[in-house]
Amino acid sequence: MSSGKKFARSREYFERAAKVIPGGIYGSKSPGFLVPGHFPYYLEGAKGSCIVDVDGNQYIDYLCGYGSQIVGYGNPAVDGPALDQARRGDLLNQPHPVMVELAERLVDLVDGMDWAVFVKNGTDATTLATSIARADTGKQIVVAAEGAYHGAANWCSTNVFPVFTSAEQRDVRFFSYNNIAQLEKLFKDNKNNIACVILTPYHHPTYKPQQLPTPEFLKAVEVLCQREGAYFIMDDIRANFRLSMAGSHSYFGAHPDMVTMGKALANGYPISVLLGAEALKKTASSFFITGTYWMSAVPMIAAMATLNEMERLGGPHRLAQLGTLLKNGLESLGEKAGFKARISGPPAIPFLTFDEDPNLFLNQRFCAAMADRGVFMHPHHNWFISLAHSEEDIERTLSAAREAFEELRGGFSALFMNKIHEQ
Amino acid sequence: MLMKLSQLSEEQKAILARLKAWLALQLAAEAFRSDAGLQKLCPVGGVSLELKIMQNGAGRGGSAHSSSGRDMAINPAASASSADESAATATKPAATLQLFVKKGNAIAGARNWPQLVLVFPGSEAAIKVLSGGKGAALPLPLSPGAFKTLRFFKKASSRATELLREAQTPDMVRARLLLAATLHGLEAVSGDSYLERRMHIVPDGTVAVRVGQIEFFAAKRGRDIRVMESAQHPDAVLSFSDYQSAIKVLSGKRQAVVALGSGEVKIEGLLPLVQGLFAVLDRLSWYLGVSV
Repeated sequence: MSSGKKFARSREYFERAAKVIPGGIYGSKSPGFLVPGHFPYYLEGAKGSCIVDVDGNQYIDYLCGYGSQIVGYGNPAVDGPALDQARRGDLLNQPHPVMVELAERLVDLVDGMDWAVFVKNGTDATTLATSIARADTGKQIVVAAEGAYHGAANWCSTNVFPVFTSAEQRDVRFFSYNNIAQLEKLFKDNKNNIACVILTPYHHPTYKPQQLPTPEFLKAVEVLCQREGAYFIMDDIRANFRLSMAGSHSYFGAHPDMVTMGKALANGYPISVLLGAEALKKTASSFFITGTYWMSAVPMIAAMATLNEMERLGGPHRLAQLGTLLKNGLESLGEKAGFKARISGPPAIPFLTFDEDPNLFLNQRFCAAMADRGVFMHPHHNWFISLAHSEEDIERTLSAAREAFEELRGGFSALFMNKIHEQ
Repeated sequence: MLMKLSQLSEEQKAILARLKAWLALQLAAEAFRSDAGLQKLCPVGGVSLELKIMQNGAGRGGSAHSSSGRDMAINPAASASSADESAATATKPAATLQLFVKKGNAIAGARNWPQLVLVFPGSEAAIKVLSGGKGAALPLPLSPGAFKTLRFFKKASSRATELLREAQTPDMVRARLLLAATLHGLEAVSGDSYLERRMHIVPDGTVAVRVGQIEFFAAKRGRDIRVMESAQHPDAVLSFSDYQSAIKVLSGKRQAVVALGSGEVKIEGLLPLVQGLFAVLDRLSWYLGVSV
């Protein structure tokens, strides 16, 4: 079937959208971020590990709502209590008691954290964390890793305009992830001026292979922060509970002062959290923290249910098991087809790149071929395994991948193959 | 917000002047390439014209060289050094742009010794004159063929406009004119300080822009974009499905995102590089929207 027919309704909606919505679909869900002609633009439903687009096409999904689905779409163990609360009232004048229960549970669960503030998006949490660090230390500079994503606020986004450069973005400094010498130099060059270092537990830049922290890196960050009087913030929004129920910092043996979590926290219901150590509680209390929807009850009920369901379904251990199955299978099939296909990152949050193609032509072709075969794998953003995925899903995925690698080998343009062969 | 010329900073005026001059020359060169009538009109020895925009100390100076002939070559890289030179000294022109047209291959040498130099006393004058309005421009004849050169340039410029407007212009010609104007427009505004930090986070590389038999390459290096007619192994490819799609998108009749969604525009390879060019494209639109 031609892509025009296969995605007729998606395209129709997009044409309408472009008239009334800037960019049609803005941000990371923009069609240009995928491979137009091979991926749908609008979805209308999902169940378990599968998504369905507006044209009725079905996919095994490895994007999981950008990581927010961890126990599967439409999981009754989460949706049941959440919908029940929705009927009884979601956004109330005062918080629902579940807010206390959820805070207690997270403080109990996540290593080294003593308090919790609930917000909606990852950006809310990271912006609040850096603000608290600045207020507490009286220092201005935030240090982050190059290419790391900490949200869409002006201080951390790629919305680079001169008017922001002179304000929010001016005080953010960057270094290469895992590069201790560069971080030391930043501390030296900005003596007594660095409020915090914000890092993801491992490096997951868009368009590039993922990078795990070296054994000495996170320890060095801690030592430097302590020595220089700066706070260490772990931005765990993306990995959130996929590596450890005690937080990804626990998985990597790190001890941050604040941790941000979101996405999988409530299996897609809108809630994120900033967790912090006792030493920062007073400063956090002095902040006026509010947002119209930040204390709504339904996402908190969903978060409690999601934590229960994650534990019931085997949590990070099961995710690693499934992810390893997928990783080994894809790398082996890629190699058999003659490609240097490599899965980077933790198995539960994998990303495929081709060593011979840093510009991602091959990723785009491969993921397009997979989408043609009913498997949704993002060509530019890391993937996610959920507890709703099954061995059968992985098997079907690998079967599609066998064909996709063959297609890749057979159909790639002469121009590009020349380039590969020269390398 | 649509800006008026009087609301622009000196830097912005200098960039807009350079953009207008660069587009005028590039479109004249493209019209010469596409139009047999224009080729016949060209004097046997060819014509060479230089536009010089005087500007004391304001903006990023620039110089570029557009040369064209029957076997035309466009070599903006050759002009890069003179761009820097002219920017370095406030008394030198902010922009010096040359057009050389000749029936044949021999184009060398003319870059340094044009038949006619058209001097604009400042950015505003250049912007007004090159937008079809009234303004000061001083012709400096440097050879006996100087005024033939000026007549030819005027004819080529108006022919370019006709080719863009006339219904009978072949799609390929119109697509090429629009694509050349767009890409050379990017080239002209890429040094804008407004884009400096944005360009810093965009990876360097080369984008191939293709439609039918037309292919251009835009190379991004640091703050600058250079347009080339050939390049090895592009890092990204932006292609239009056909000439009509290219014309619609490049003339603003079809939104680029809609064309991307429908498959009329396709992007492959290093996406952040192409996205970076889109940011420059937005800035180009901003400049072209300035009311003169």
